[in-house]
Amino acid sequence: MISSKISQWFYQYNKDIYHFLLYYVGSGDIEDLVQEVFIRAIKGFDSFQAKSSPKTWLFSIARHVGLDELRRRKRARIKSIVPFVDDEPIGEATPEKVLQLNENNRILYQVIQSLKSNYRDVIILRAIKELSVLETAAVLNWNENKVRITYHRALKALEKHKEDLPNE
Amino acid sequence: MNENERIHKIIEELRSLPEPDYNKYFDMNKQNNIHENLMKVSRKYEAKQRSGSFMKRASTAVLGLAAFMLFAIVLMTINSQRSDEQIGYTFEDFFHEKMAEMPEQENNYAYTLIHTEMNAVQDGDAIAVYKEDRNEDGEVFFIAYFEKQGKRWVWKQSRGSKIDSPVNWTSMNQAPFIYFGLIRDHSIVEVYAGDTQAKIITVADGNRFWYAISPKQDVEVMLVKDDGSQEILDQFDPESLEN
Repeated sequence: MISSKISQWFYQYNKDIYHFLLYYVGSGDIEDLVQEVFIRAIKGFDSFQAKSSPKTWLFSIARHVGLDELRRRKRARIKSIVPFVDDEPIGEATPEKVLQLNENNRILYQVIQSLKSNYRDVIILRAIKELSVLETAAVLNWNENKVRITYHRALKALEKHKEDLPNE
Repeated sequence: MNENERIHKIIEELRSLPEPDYNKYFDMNKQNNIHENLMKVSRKYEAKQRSGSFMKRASTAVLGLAAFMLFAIVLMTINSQRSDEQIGYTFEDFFHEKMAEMPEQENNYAYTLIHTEMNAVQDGDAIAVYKEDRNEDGEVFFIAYFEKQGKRWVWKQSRGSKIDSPVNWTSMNQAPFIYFGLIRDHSIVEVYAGDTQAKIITVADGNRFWYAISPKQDVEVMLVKDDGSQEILDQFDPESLEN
């Protein structure tokens, strides 16, 4: 039962999860994180409510995996005793490479990464992954009104950051 | 450009951001490898769940069985006690039943149960003091010893003493050695059989009956009077009556 469902969901949503995580955490072994998302889904399968959507459930897990990864990287940076070492290992697939970003998109990507976390959450889910308000609310465990308001504010903040960026 | 138009433009820009190059960075081989790993984890997890579920069921069954056995033991104990006492069936009931069962030639006398002592020598035994009104012999006081064997009382031995016997006491011939007698002298305050102080009970007409259980046979019986004087008593053996 679990195996067949996870198998089905994996092939149905693995690219969506990969896409989401790439924007959420940036560089790194995104495929490892995708695997981690589905491992957590296996372990938490009993808690999955059949009436809810597996897509929003998996995105919700992916967001937590992404947050854990960002925290882990932050801790690793603090603990690092070697100064001036680049965070990204040489040859690692960067979002610029994976997404083949042009200059305008690279700036947009950097602005997204600079947003505060709830703005980034809602921008990635609503604008990039094109989830509905209802789906976004389910992933973030917010009400729909909060999704609409936060999304609007996030877009305005994104625009302002983007305008400010060339002047920095 | 107004705010709505600017927001709309930003949304368009965001939606135009490219998707990853899956063929290069997340191709089918990588997906299949992850899938294979996931299936291993999933099967292992399912097996663990089944095992856990089995263990849970097994432990539930064991606990249920244990609870049932405990309940059964408690029930059996209660039933045992009930059958032992036959729901209110007391030692005194047994005594009266045995008296009624006595052969007619031995039990054509009226009797009165005067005193009982439970667990007198050891747990599960009893002593009864009773009086028979024997026509030719007058009143005879008896002491009887009982033991519980399993769930049943067993009348082990008994012996009696006439109230007008010229001597004062007698005893059982086998263990437990119960020494007993009547006290007609009001100045007597204590009686000892060897080192054991006797119990003294009032029986009738101001007379008293004493008995003492001694581990030894043929001990001296001594009485103590209210003036502190002591006296060794003779045994009333030849005239004692057996029941």
